[in-house]
Amino acid sequence: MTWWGLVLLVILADTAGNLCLARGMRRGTVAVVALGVVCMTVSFSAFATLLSRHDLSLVLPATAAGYVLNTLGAVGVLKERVTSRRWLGTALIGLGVALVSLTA
Amino acid sequence: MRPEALLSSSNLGAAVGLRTAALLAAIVALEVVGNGCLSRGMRQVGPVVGAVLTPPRLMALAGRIGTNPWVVVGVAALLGYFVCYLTALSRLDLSYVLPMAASSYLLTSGVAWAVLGERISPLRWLGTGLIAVGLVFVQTSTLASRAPKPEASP
Repeated sequence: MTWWGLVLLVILADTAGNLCLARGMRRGTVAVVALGVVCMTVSFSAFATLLSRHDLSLVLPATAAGYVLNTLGAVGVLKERVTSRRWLGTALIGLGVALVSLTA
Repeated sequence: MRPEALLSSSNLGAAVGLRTAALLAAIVALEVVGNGCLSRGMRQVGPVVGAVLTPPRLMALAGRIGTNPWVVVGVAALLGYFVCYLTALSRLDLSYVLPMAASSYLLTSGVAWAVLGERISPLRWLGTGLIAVGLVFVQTSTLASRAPKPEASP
């Protein structure tokens, strides 16, 4: 799998895992908690695969792209109102990830 | 707590108590050390590529990864980090917990440079710094949105 494919897998599987764990723990659903653990394991495996090929100082900052997707998801999917402070932070993170990616 | 106040955390220990400060320090340390160990271990294992993933090779690869001491220590540290982080999220004021993530990006790159011997270009440092600053903004706005509205409190 390619660089961005793996980075995306780390981010999406982690987000899905967090949602499953939070929901499963609150409602006491074992199956949902188990699904959350599976998602976390997938995310971690993709992260370890990236680390087998690239520098830690490249891989970890790249996964911060998750915060950008998070904000876009909040606006696009959940129709949340996002403060200008959060937009500014999201833009800075996006710019930072772009700059770090240039050094890949 | 006003977001601006988060940035001046020089008296963090006195403000939030020694126990809390120790937990926060442990979280950051476990994450940074865990990632550093995992990175070193996976580099020793060698590049994992798609072509490797036939069943017999996958088993051999899993064996190599699972028996690498750096990977084992790294995974243990990251599991410890996860447990401590969840504990902190449930017990502590989020205004201490969330902005902490920003520092771990810079510290991790610091460890990668100083201990793992990675060569980090000025551009990569700049990008990492922007991510850390951006994260403080994102996390403090998360706090602001969760804070109770003034008119809601009697």
